[in-house]
Amino acid sequence: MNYQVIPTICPYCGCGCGIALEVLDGRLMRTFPLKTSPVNEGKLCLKGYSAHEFVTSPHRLTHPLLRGKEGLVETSWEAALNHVVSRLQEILTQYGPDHIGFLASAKCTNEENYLLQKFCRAAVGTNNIDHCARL
Amino acid sequence: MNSIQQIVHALFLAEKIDGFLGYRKKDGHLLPHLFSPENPDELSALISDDPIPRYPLPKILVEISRAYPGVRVGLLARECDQRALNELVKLNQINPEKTLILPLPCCHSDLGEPTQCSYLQSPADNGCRPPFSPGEDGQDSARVELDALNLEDRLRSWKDEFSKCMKCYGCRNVCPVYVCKECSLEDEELIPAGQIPPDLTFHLVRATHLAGFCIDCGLCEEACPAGIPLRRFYQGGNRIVEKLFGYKPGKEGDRSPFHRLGLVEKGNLP
Repeated sequence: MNYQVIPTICPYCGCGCGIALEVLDGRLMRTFPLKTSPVNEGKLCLKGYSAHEFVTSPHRLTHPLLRGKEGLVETSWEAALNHVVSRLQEILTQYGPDHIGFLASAKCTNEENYLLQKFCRAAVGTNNIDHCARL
Repeated sequence: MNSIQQIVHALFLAEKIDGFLGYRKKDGHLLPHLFSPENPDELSALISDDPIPRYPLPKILVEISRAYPGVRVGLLARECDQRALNELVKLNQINPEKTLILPLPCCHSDLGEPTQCSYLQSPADNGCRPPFSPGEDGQDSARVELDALNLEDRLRSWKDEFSKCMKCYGCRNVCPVYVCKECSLEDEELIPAGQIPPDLTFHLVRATHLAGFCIDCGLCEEACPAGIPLRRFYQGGNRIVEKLFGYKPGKEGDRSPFHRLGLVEKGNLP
């Protein structure tokens, strides 16, 4: 009988609401709003309340997918990253940096998003960066 | 060890309980925690006197007892928690013989004398709001104001409130007496997906289901991001039940009139 309440941050949008995850014997059961979070003060939206549901969803992607003639095909990280690098270089040489855009994610850490915008602005040379949580 | 910690420790030693639901600090947040007899040293972290935010411990107890039938759990219970536990016993969700209550001073309730309560301390102390702003006579002044309105204006007032609803389901999710396996609020035909704000049906379904069950803890109102005075709304349903049947939910033993099957069929409704 191992019941734990884990305080963490809602993974959905950039608001950063505090949530408490209930875990019974290693199984995620429920999400409560964190009453002591200064961000949401014990309140949550519908997505936040279901934050525990996607973790064990069978619909989650477990491999990188590469879109080819036959649709999306599972591939390795090595092959996927090689593809991204070569296509980015091709587009950059042929059309210039403003033909490339980047979409960051609220599910990443602040530091990862910082790195992406640095890569976008300093390495590629465009300001075309946005994120999924522009709510 | 303080007195509550000592009591729980003694209960563990005497093998009276298999776990104790209380609060402890975790990563800077006061959160519900299940203390275990296997780890008695942890009891020094059990907090019972500071202003504690309210989480629905009885609801957590229901989850634990579903996974471990017959488990004996003690828990810190404010008066509202005790009212919830009484209702959950009536709903056959928890076994009173396997539940040990250590009372925690709590907020004002119609069913008991007002006692010292973190919930009624100034919001700056614990981030909580008092359940209502009492007028000079100690009555809920907004309630008195609302009751003075004619039916049309009262309906308009509630419609205004419900137009703020963003359908987060927070009121239901935190409700300590919401233990249903299926929920009408998830019925696609009754509550169409994507409709925000939902129409009055959403709130009336909750109100009718809670009439005679709502223990007036106000957790729904605390959780509502839109600030809808839900506590006052559900009190309305309870007032009707009390008027018709002389029944107030939350008391020990006394069963809801809705449990007496056959009453409606026999045409015995007043």
